[in-house]
Amino acid sequence: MALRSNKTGFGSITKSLHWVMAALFISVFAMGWYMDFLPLGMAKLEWMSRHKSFGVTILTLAVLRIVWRLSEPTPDALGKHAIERLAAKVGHLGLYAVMLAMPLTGWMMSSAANFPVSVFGLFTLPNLVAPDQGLFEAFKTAHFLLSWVIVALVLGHVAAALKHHFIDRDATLRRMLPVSGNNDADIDATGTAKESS
Amino acid sequence: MDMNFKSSLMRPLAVGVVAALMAFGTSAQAADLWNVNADDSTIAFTGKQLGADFNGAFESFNATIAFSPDDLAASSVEVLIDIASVNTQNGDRDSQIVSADWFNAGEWPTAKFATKSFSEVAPGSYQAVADLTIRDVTKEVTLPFDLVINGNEAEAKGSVTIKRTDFGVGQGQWADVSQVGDDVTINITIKASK
Repeated sequence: MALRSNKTGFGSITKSLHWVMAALFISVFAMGWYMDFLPLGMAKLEWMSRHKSFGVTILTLAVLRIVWRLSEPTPDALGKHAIERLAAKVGHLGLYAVMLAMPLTGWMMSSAANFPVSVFGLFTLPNLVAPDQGLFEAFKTAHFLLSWVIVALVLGHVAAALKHHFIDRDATLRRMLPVSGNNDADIDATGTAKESS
Repeated sequence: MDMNFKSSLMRPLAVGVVAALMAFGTSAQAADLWNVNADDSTIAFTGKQLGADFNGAFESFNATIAFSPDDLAASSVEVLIDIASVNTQNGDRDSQIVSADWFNAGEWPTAKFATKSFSEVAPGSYQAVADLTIRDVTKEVTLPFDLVINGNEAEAKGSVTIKRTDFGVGQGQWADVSQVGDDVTINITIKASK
């Protein structure tokens, strides 16, 4: 499998980033809700630590992913209608935006609470804003609202992939899967998998 | 003859005792009294939470300072710190700090720092050995500090790291130091005038 994507298929770097980040998204989301329900105690602090560390990991991967995406070709969208391709574009832009905005609002929320972020206990991030109760509440609200924006974007993303796969029967979902039917050697321009692979 | 002998023996002794008493008396009064300039003085600290340092301060304290660099034996400092005045710029954390599991300010509203002796390490650089009382625990700590005296103005800066669990700060589950670190560094800046 090629490292770089081309006009018809995704390279292994993009696929890895996609699925690793998908797993991290789910993990961080679950941790966020879980720790919020815990009473103040060691367990809550431990989960907050992990939530922050994984969040910073997402932020780092998001930056790498965006740089990588801009440096390589992007496979053409397979949607047959312009409105579909536009929706896909908007959805993907939204996902890239929240990959940055969600960790950043979390980081700023921690800074405003004078609760600096340590990444897996290895190093500590600088505070982005000065401690301020009002700012803390604002970032907390933003972080919370964004979590639901992410839920909506991810559900739309998954629904669209399934629609392409089961209704349009094109390669949209398959070409992002880790192993099968994944690059232009395996899929022709119409997205139909060749028999040999 | 007898008397003469006695007095000739006693006289230098008596002079010596009087001289010593005078010297002692003078030295006991020589430690200057200083008034703390509260606005420019801080008792701050750095703790560790979730692996990251955070800063805070006790904003209200009272210090009684008698200090003369040339008479350390007669010098003494006592500081009473109002626990409820803690400010870590996080209301939730501040209310935790004063709660029963931590400082228990309801029961022990003040911490006390009382010196027992001073020594000069280098010109302008000193060490204070003191009893530090937090909650119901008193422990000896050694606070190194630098002191600059300009006429009637003085500024002292010092720093000492203590272990919170030595003082019972963090009861029950909080005695675990993995998420809230054991080491707490106290940074003091005291500006005073006489």
